[in-house]
Amino acid sequence: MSLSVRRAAALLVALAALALLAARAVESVTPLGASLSVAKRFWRAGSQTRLLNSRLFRRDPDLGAVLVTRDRFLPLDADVVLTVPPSLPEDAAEEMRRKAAFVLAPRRVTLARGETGREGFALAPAPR
Amino acid sequence: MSRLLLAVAALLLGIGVLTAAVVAMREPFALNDYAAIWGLKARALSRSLSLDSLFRVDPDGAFSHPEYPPLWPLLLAGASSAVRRYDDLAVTPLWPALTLSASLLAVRAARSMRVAAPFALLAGAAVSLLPYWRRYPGYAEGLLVVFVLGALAQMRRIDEEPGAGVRIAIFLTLAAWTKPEGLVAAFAAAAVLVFARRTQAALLVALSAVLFAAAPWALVVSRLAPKRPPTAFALSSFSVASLAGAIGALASEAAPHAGWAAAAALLLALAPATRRARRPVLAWCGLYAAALIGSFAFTRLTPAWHVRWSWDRLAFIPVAVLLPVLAEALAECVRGKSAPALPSASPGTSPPEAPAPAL
Repeated sequence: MSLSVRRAAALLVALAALALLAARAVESVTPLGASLSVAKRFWRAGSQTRLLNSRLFRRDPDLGAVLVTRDRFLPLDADVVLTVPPSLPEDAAEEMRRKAAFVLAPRRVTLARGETGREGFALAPAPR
Repeated sequence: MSRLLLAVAALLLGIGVLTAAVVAMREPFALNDYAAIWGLKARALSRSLSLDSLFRVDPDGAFSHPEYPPLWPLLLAGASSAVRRYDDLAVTPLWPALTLSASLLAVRAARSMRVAAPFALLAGAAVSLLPYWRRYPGYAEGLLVVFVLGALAQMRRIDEEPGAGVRIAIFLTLAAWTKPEGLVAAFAAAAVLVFARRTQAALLVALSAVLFAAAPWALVVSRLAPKRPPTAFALSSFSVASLAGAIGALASEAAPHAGWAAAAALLLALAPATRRARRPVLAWCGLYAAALIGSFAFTRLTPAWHVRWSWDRLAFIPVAVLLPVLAEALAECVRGKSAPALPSASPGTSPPEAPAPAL
């Protein structure tokens, strides 16, 4: 293979790959104005608002709000029981437990099944 | 040509780092493994200031992998201590910082291989853009890749500077404190160093990773965990069927990305001198990948599920290590210069008086 063909092939492959990655990078932040506006709101918000606006609670804002409130008042050495309805599928219940564990860390969150009221969940300190 | 390439590389590097910054600032980390593992542990550490909390949040080890080493959560908690409470505001800037660090270390690694500046900068740009192949802000791979590229950047100095071996050992020991794969990276490096007849450096790397990372952390886990944490892998779970299933799943998951592999293979095929000169790095990538693929023979989970949710994150590290070599291959093709011929890395084919192969 001649040097010029080798050079052209290598440059074409390398630059095409880099251009594709760069296009994906640019696409991930466009429209830039909207991205910067969201970033600005994120930076200006308080830590609890930031947490509530995160992707963790995008589909479950009620749970987020209750967790943030409980986090403020429960002592750090108190563990927590998260009660969910018996009919809630296992995966959904586990997802709620993980969200609760994240917000309430370092408290241990255990899952229980039972009556929950309108909200679809109940949080209570674990018996010592 | 060089100036144009330098400008293109600088532009791409800028795009990589700036977009990483915007994405991290726009989207708090809280999702998937960040919420279940890394961020959970960092919040617990930050608020309790105790390693006990790593095990208290999930004593059954149901989702947080209590057995994982704690360096990344410690770093997140440490960064957050700047604002005196755990807050995404303090930890998100770590993502662009790690992107920039990894990119600069890739440039340094390429420069240590005597790659011309524009091509070395392209390696850095490629590393900064690599997350756009798969993007996981907040995961531990961002830190792991910094340590592994830091070690790579020292490899060529091993014969010139007495401290290089120690620095490689330190970087890979830190990698072993970051993720279990860090220990695999250290062992793969030790194996390559033995093969390249740098036995002393190999011992240093392997012993340092075991004595200063794996062993002390295993001791901490045994002392603090209320019960032995369940692991995703176990020797007793060995099954050839699992390995076959994992390889099948890997093939089907990776098939849509075959173009990337073909592009890398083409570059290496066009650059025989780079291929010869960088055999140890290529061997490290192969060993690391083979070890991780082989580990799926011991998975306790469904192999196809385990592969589907981990293969691209696992591939991130060897791909990042490969990028400085690909930059060198590109330089060889474009400039038409060959890397200096090196003696074979195979001990059986070298005469006893032959110098040890270059790294």
